[in-house]
Amino acid sequence: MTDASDDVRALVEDTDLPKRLREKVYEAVDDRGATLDEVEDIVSAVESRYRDTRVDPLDPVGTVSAQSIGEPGTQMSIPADERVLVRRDGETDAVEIGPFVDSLMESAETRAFDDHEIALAPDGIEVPSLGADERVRWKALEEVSRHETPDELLRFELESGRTIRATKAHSFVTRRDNDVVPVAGEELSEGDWLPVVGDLPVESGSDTVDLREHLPASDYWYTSALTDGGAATFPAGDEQVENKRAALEAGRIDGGAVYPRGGTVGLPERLPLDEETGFFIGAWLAEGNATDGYVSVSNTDPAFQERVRSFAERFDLSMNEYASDGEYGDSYDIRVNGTVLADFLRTACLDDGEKVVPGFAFGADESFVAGLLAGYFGGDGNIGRSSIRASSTSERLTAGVALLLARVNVYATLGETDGSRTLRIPAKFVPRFAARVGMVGERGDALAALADDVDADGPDATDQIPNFGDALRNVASAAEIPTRQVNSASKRQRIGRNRLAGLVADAEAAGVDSSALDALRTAVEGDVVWDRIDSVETVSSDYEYVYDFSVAGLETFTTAEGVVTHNTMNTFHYAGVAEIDVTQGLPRLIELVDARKTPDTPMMTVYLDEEHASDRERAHEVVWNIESTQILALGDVSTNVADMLVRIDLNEETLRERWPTYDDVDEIVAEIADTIESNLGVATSRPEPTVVEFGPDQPSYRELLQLVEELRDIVFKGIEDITRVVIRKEELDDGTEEFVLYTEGSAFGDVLEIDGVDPSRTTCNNIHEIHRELGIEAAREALINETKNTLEEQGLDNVNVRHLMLVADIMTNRGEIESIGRHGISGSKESVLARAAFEVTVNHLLDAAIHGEVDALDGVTENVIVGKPIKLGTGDVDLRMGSRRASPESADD
Amino acid sequence: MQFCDECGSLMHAQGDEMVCSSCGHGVPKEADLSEQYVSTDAQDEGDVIETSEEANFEGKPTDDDVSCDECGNTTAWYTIKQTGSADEPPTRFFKCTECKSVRRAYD
Repeated sequence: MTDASDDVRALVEDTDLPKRLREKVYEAVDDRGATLDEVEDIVSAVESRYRDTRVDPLDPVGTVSAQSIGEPGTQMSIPADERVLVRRDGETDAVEIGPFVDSLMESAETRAFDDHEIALAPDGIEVPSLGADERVRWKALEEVSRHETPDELLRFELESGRTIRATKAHSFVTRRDNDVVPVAGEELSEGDWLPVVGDLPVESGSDTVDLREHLPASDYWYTSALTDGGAATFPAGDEQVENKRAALEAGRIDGGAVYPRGGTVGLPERLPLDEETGFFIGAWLAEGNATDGYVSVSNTDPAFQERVRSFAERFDLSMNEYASDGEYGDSYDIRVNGTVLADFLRTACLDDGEKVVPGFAFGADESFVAGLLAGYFGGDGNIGRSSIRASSTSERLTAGVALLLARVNVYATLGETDGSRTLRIPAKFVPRFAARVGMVGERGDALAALADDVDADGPDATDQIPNFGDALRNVASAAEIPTRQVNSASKRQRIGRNRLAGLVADAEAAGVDSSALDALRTAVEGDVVWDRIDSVETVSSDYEYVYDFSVAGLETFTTAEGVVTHNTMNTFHYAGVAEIDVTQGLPRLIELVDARKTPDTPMMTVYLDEEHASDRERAHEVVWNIESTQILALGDVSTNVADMLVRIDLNEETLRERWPTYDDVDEIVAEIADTIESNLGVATSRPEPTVVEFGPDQPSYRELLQLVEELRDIVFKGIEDITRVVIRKEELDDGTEEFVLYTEGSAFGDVLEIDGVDPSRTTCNNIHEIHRELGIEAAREALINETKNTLEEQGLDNVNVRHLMLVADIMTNRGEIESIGRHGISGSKESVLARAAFEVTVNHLLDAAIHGEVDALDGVTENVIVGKPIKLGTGDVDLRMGSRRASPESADD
Repeated sequence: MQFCDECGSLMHAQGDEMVCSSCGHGVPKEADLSEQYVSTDAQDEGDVIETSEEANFEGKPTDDDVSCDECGNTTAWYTIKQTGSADEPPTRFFKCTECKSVRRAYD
């Protein structure tokens, strides 16, 4: 802590700056030897700057937000002012999530769940999303949600300089054990890894931008609106409109163009997005100014200036050029005249006075992106000894450029020096930058030289793959690569991407083929760069709500800084379905004691053997072998009443998933067709490889519909009685985890034989099935366990087990399971009186009378009825008085 | 579902014609109408449901004023059921978040 005077300290402590900023202020004050007034200015400036950045961070980092399923309304979202990348009907933009979601919520129906408001997103909106294969793809946005901001948010700062803020429960994705998994924000700490988009793919970027989106028709003349006859708004009244029409016909103004009020210099309505226009915009972003009527770009490099001139000439815009010797050296300004151009650049590329990358650039054609980057770096970029740097006072601009670089698969880090933000392209990506973007003029030569110089395959600290578990060691030993080469990497659990790529190639050449190698390959080819968390701090947000997206698949979306976050949204339409409903309490007890043949909710707990219990894929295999698969799970079923045909469109992916041992989808489809033929008795045809068609013999509507109904009931794979299977990951006593299957529906005998099932631990809740498969002793044990569990679940855990053992023993004493009631034990007693006293009195007495039965009075009930002591305890013995017979004298002597 | 103009019964397709099954009347097929005759049930997209041990109770309310007899944990999920007579208060079942043992409480 620097020693500052008490007044200074009082001033600084009074603000709500975090500790590290306060330290910096003290340092700065000390360095400059500032007076108290100056300190006040400094402090208030720092504070307002801090607040600004806190409120408006827009760091275009692609943090993919992960989404969690089935979680209740815990709060997991990102604050309103974080920007995210969205694409709507082809138009890309980096929007603040708050206003974006708010506007969607106003126009759609919202549901409330806990304290979340959720609305379905309209069709056509996509976000870049990270899949489990580490590829980034544009996926459809399904739902949006918001809820009130909690008091504390977490702010993560990554080593690359990117930041993201989110609620504590918001989940992100990280790499663990060679898998991309969701993790809650509050569980992350310094040193953990978050994914950042390294390669943002856009299959066919837009090649024009519609100026109407940026320049409203009420202030500008759109000549296409003059001629297309539709209703349109114009900047002036009908008389003017007529004048314009006349001018259009006379050829004084062009069709399909935009003109300012009272001007004849315009731009095409749909401005082409190609390398040239990109370059100009990039150049302007770097070194341009715009005011009413013109824009200017200043640069002394002749090649650069030529590009600016050619742009102006292309669109028929006049120029003025000014050279001057200023105090900072020569400068050369090219001024391009044109109100439309100036206004457009000010609208699209400026926000709040700061320069920003225009939203449409993120989704634009690659040539435009390359041009923009070339222009930008040509203006503001510097070729260093081992990297390319650029800096700007606009944070959003550097962040936007960093994300734009992901379009050409170049990764950049962000930093801050002396109040401006810097962007650095590390050595590894320089050649790629040179190849895909390039620079003009002098810098271009320097770039080419650096690109040649740089060793793109060398060691690289910025692009590491973390947390691959034992995969590397396994692959290395399989490929006979000496372990010392991979030891340190395995220990630190991170390795440079280049190095890993090399090792993967070596392993492939050595003929290794394993899931570990596949996983490593996925990591190498992935579209994300893994970034380490530098610091985590708690902050608060001034906005009322925090927001979230719900995306299909791995549920990730991307913030405008390229950081990938896991969409944590409570997709409650799953919640509750994950649990299997079993009868509990008294009804269950009655079922057990009555020895019902089939319980109301038959259920099985299937344990898997070692091989299948640890691997999710193998566990899924067992699931498909058990769960009954019906036709609707495999594809769409269409009923064509006109052609009298039923058409089944099978989903290839689903087929491959459920029949993993088959290589050829054709075989699976053939099998399905055979099953249908044998079950329904109709002939099937296969017009396409994954389509099965059939129809009734006679063109009868009734038969057609009946076939469809019967089709729904056919079971194609798995055991018929098992309607649903749920997997649970459970912890064993020794701390390891295994997958356990819970089924709705019971087919104990069949399941025990299935490959992968551990028959020594698997159980079911149907006592009769246990008896049938495992014998009477097992049934007795199962009975005891079931009753014990039922009682414990109701909180009655102090019923001693021996009472339950007694009941079970009695029920299973004769080798069969008998119920307690009149159909079982109580009804098979020998004593008439006992049976009559229990139930159906008259019948028993009548039958006994008819058949002349005798009651031996051995049991408790009958002795109580006749009033004799029972034959237990005292009554267990028959007492005789006296001993031998005396001599046959009368007792009177 | 196209119906015959003559006799009113259902027509089905035969080659490029729609033919009535009872009277034999034939009408050429109209392409745009044929979509109406198809009804599709979409595939039931459900994957294997994976859950965790807590999932059954996830989201259920928890009470922090209790202490478990077995393990001493102070948080428990609670459900309320009317197990007694209607003039008695309902029974509260507390399930400990740690050891999952259930305790009853009624007043």
